[in-house]
Amino acid sequence: MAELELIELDESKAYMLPYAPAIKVPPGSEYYFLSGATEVQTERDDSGDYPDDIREQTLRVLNRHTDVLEANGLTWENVIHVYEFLTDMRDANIVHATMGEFYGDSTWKPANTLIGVNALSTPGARFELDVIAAKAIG
Amino acid sequence: MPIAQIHPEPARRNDVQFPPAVSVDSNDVFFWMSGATAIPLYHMHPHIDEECVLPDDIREQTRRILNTFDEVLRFNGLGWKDVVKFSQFLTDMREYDTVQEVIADFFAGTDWAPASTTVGINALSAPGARLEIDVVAAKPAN
Repeated sequence: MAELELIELDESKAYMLPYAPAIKVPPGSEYYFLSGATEVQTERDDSGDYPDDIREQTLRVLNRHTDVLEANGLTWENVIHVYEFLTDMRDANIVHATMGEFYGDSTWKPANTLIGVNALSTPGARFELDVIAAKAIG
Repeated sequence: MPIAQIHPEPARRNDVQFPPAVSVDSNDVFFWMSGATAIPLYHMHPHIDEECVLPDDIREQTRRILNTFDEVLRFNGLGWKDVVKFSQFLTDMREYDTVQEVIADFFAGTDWAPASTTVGINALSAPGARLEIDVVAAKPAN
């Protein structure tokens, strides 16, 4: 049966990385390209009432993506690559720790590209996450 | 369908280092690789300072990044001709030309280049990192 595969070049060092060096996706898989999400909860939420706290922002972002994943019959173990966009690179450790909670006891972790940016689409937003998910077929 | 470059203006294909697009087949095997800066592929998180000391020279940083991907590609039985997409993140866009020269060196002899996106950004995960690249590769399933 075809499965997504987490590629570690050195298993003895796998604990060092909160992300996978690479993810291998088998032929004929379904792909889901999710739009980047900030802490804004819905398309219509323009209240401007957003928490500054990076952990709270990260939880909101991850909950939004969880909704989209679940609506498509997917879980975080289907996520193969994420782009993390941070306005303050000092927030990276909290973001990674919070994302780790969404993986719980799972050994899965997606590939990851982390970038420090000037600004995001919502004033006050410190974190945007863009997700690519896949489902192996057959 | 083989992996192929898409050139809407074939006569001008030699004017560009990277093709406007690359087509792939959904029956290919895909490899989605994490972005890499010039620090070693395996490094501690949270970062520790000693692992994040980098040469300032952009040519050397670019080489180290591409050597990391060379290792990941080889580990998976892939080569540079299997790379379909590059994303390049630079902290100083004046270094663009130098980065592309080093990239061209790694693709030398393949007659191949991937689709590429380059963006100038604020900061990277290691202080002193001037470039991050991420890579998508694909090859026909056996």
